[in-house]
Amino acid sequence: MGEETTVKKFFELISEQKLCAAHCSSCDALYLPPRLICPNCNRKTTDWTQLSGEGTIRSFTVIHIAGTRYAQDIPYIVAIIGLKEGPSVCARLVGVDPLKPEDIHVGDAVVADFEEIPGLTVEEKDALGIPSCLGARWHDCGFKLLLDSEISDGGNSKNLGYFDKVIDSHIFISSMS
Amino acid sequence: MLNVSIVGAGQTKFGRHDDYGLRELFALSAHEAIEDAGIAPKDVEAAFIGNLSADQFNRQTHIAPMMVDAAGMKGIPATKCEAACASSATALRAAILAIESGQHDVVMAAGVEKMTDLPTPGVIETLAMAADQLFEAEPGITFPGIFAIFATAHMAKYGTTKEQLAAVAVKNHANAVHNPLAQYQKEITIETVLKARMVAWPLGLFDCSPITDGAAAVILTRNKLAKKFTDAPVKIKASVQANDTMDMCDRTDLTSLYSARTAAERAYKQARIGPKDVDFAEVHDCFTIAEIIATEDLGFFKPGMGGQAVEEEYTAIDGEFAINTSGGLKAKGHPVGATGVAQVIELYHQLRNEAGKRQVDSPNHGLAHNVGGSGATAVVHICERW
Repeated sequence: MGEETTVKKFFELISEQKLCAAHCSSCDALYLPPRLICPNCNRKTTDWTQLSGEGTIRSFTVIHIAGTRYAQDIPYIVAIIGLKEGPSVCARLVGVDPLKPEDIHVGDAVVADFEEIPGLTVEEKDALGIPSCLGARWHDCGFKLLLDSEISDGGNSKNLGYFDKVIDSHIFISSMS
Repeated sequence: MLNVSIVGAGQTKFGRHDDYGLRELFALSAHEAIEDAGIAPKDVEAAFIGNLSADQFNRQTHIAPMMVDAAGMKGIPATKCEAACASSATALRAAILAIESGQHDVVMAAGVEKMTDLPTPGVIETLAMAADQLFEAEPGITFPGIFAIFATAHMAKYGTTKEQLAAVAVKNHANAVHNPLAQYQKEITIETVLKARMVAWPLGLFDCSPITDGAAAVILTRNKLAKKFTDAPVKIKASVQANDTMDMCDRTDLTSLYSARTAAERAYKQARIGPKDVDFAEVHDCFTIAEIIATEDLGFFKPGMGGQAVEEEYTAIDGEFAINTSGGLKAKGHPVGATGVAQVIELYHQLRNEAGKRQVDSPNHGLAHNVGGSGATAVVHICERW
């Protein structure tokens, strides 16, 4: 992809439904959030690597009290997802019941998905007090629990019955135009 | 080895202050510290003031000169230090370095925050600005949420229980009963904590420090001058600050803070003591899990043992490591930018044997551990009695 690994470009890639990490061609490290300079070898990261979106839950919480902006979303789940390729991401976890956190486990397999959502107009951003740099609606990116038992590692297979309940749920990582 | 001592301290009551704004809170704590050191405002040569976000909470910037003006100081360098909830520990460190550099002999380190000017949702959003706005706040994380993520990880890795988290809150509320400046001077039970309204699962309301107004100030000088101000100065033996990645997701471990472990390791080296020489500590219990992680990161207990330690009362006032004798952020209150200096004020009183009913038995060393954000900043100070 050969582009400078800026945050701005990262969100442009999200808009194209591509979850990408900054890649350092010198030491092969991947960074998410993207970095311009590789802390391992102190060189500029050189390009983007598209990620599979497959990962596991490293930890999570259910937000019951939120700020004004997300007050209508509560209760919602925010998780740290360890992606298969190495980097982790902080994202919404959707498609599972936020009122049954005991049914979600560290180590559960998840996968990123995208859904088109309408973008915010400048007026809407102003009304919400959102700076222009936040236009990509990253908060609407989410991860869903993965239903495929082959990808889910052995220890989590007991959860499959539960996963079945969410087979039709609609999940998203997404962005706006 | 540092050559700086604390010779005066002042703190407002922590809590909701409807009658006092930012400037009055600061002026009251500064005045008390100046009086305690037996000096006048004109004797203070420089001031470093911790504050997270007067710009959001009070729509006021440029607060350092405004604060010292309110306390009657003129013509001095007044500088604001911001490192989220570790703001005033970084101010203290800057004040220590100002003396160590040889530039100044008498310096004020302080912190102030007036949070209740904003309604709660605004406070939540302002605090969340201390996380990565694009990659953490945007997905919807809150500060309780960040520490809830650490709690979930700690519980999954070590089997830490909700009851152990609750034991932190119960202990700190019990300690605060004896602190007249604490926001809550009321005991609570494990059941109260466990049954409380959920804030960010698995953390409920009583796992969280409150929204607080308050200010705290200390007067520092070099050791060789300290006895001119007071008979009982308190020596600062170590002052260390360390950073970590801004984003939680960029860290390999969600059960420990690298910044705190690093700062602690260097602080012990600077003070030439080890964790076992620490008699008591004020640690950053913004949430109950944070105290458990802190006692592990500081080397008081092995990783994963912090929960059991609090449950078995090793961290009670008469325990092996008395933790948060002041009531901690949990019960004393957490006016974010004032917390770091307020922690060190508890060390000052304990090491002068003037902490009343919460006094630890003849302590030699106290440690203060102040964390900014999700741990992108940690500051450790170690104090010693004269």
